[in-house]
Amino acid sequence: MKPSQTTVLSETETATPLRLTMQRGPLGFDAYRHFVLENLDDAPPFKLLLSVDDADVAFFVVASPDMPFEYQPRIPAWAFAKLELPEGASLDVLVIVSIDETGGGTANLRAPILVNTNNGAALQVVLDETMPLRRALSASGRSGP
Amino acid sequence: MLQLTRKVGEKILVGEEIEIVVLSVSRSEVRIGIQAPRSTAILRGEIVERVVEANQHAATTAADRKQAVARLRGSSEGPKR
Repeated sequence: MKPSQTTVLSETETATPLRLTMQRGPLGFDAYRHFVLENLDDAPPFKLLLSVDDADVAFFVVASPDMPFEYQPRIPAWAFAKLELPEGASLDVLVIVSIDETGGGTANLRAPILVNTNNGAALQVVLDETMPLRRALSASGRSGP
Repeated sequence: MLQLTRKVGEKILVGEEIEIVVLSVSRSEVRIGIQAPRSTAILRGEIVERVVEANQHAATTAADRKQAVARLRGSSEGPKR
């Protein structure tokens, strides 16, 4: 992760957490359908996707523009349809990250969470196999399949 | 589980909107064509299983994430060794 040189308090960092509703929760967590997206002011650009129903279910995520490398995945048509958006409309892409014991981590580029920011509808999409499930969160590093 | 025997070119209809056709069969592989509404996700089962595993690995409990945030804060304060 790039160290931030300046602290800019943007509008989103002071806003109330965004509420997200999923028709079906993240894969393996299907029953968890309601989340809030909280900024981690202590550790930007990480955010916390926190289940409303169970405080012990949460994911660290990073919004795609804040990733330390370019990540602009091609979103399948079915995902736009599920989110009730016209194909190609703008949506937020949240990348789930796993944090390891050293504070480093890996990003799941295969299966990001997509958010329709107009209504808070969200889903986890599974992209094509060229996208790694675990990519090191450094600008150049790679690990895992 | 419902089991059906089909020949190449024969179809299976699932509900009113999903059509599955057997395109070809070789010794150990079957090639299948699927027609479904635009909003239907069609995924290979083993890939979904890997994403489930990745999600389970990434999920963090209330106790874990306090420590993880501390580690993130530490790692962003200086260059990595």
